[in-house]
Amino acid sequence: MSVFLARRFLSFLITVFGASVIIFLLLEVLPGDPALTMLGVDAPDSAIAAIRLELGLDRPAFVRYVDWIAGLFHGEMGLSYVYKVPVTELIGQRLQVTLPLAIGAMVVATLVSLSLGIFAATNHNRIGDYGVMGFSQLGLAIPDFWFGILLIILFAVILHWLPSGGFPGWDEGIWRGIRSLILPVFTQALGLTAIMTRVTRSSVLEVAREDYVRTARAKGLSRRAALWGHVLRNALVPVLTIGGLLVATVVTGTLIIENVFALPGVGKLIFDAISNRDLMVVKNVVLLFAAIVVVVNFIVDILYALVDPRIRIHS
Amino acid sequence: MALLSVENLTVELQTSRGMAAAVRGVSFALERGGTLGIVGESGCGKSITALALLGLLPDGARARGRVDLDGTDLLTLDEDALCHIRGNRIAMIFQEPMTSLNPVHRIGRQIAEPLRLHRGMRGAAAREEVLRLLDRVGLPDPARRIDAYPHQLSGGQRQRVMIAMALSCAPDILLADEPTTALDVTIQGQILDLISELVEDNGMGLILISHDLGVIGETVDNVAVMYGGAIVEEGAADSLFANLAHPYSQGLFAAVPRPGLSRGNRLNTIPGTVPELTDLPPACTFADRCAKATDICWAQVPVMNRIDPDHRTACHHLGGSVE
Repeated sequence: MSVFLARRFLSFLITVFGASVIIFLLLEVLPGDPALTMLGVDAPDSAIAAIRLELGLDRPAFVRYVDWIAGLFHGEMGLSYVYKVPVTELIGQRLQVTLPLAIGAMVVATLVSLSLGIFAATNHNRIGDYGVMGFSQLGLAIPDFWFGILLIILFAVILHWLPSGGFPGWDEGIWRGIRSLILPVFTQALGLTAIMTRVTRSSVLEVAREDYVRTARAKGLSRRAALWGHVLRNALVPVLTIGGLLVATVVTGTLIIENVFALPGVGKLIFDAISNRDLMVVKNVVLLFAAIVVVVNFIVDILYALVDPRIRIHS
Repeated sequence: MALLSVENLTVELQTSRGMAAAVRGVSFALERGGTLGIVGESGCGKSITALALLGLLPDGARARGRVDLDGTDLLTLDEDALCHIRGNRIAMIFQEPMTSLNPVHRIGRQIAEPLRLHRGMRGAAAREEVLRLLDRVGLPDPARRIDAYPHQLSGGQRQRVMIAMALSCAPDILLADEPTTALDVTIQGQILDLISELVEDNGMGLILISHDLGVIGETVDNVAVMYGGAIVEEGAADSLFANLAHPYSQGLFAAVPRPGLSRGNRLNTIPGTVPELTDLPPACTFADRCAKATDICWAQVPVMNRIDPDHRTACHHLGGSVE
């Protein structure tokens, strides 16, 4: 197990290093000078040169890259060009919104999709199955920002149950924070649920046809007991795979959701940072996203091994 | 009275071209401790017959007729009642030991499942019983293997685990569907010997399903040859093999490769292919592949004729007394 962990950690470092190089190079070649954006196109050259000097943009690219990475090892991400505060501080604040949003969306999507997928599979080719599949088709087809707007109209504007957007901060009370995240969480969960429901359904159907399920039934287990005892755990592997891949969608999806609901999260942060050419923020947030995706895949690998003993032996 | 008596069992399966009869009016009986072999090509309905006995037919299938176990018609039982029979009074061993065990559960747990279900055994008592069963089926070092996962065992060992599982509740009847087909030849003999030995020791009835005449001939007292969903010939193994009467049985036997046959000789085969269930001839299902077929074979379903005191066949072109 320790060899496995060590190898995975090494591959984590390599992946994140590769991501950092790509991110840095992309931002180098992309047009848009932060100094120009800050001062406007009419600014005198001397002022622009002064800003570039202040931001350290006058130094060669390689030096700036090494500086960035070295800072990361000390837990520093540099200063935001726009806000003039440490990027770590910015991200730290914003994660208080984005993490609950992303985790909440994954949890809701997982719970709903597992229930619906199992329900559809056990009612295969009957009305319940068609209903769930229709819902899932709809969930795939509806763009999440539009679904978010529909939810706002219904639950905020018409029913006044929930706030239409914004985030009061956790200091204002846990419940108020949660209330303002309910609509965003469900908005983000929609697409995930649709995909994972389909995967769960087809996976359960496939496993239910396996010989060992017939064996379980021949032992005297009822349909339901065979489903819980012999189908579900085996059916989880593909669901885990898709769930792990979807985390990347969730992380990048916060960008849209946080804009629709005016949430001060990491997605909103990077959106604004891109508009303002706050490259120091952009590169660190993108790298953070990459690291999150790699870490989640690592967790998925461990879960695989927990679910299926055959994978344990090979690793 | 026979322990198990199957009368006029007909099973229809849902296919893309509508309902098709996979089993057509099959009747047989099994005495307590008796052994019956069902032999035939793949697709002849032998496995479906076995699944019908357990009420484990595929979705949409319909079974008619009677399947009496100690006087209870299993076809009329509801799902709960059938769950009490399965694994308890009738147990089944399947063909593929590789895929018939759940890959994510330890074998000890899988063998203990029927014990928990039908005997209410749990914990240490169940574990002790599982160890005894593993020892009984000849799995080496049961104490270590009980916590193994199926993929850590060989094919033969997995089949022993399957047998231990089937044996766990001391069933009245053991259904073995091609139990040795997926195994190496050397292992096949061991597993067959084990099954025979257990059947004899425990006084179980055995229904052994196989396409392999050798396997059938060595193991059982009575044989039924199935073709196209119907039994075409049946009788005591000795007299049946001594005097194969039905053209299909003869063809099946002639198609078995034998050592010593010179290389130039082609292996005998039965002309034609196994027909689709929906395309079977209406009367004698073998009519379209039979060299002896005449008009009557297409017009009238042949009935079982007795050609020996303990040997019967259903063919229009054989003598014998109609029952």
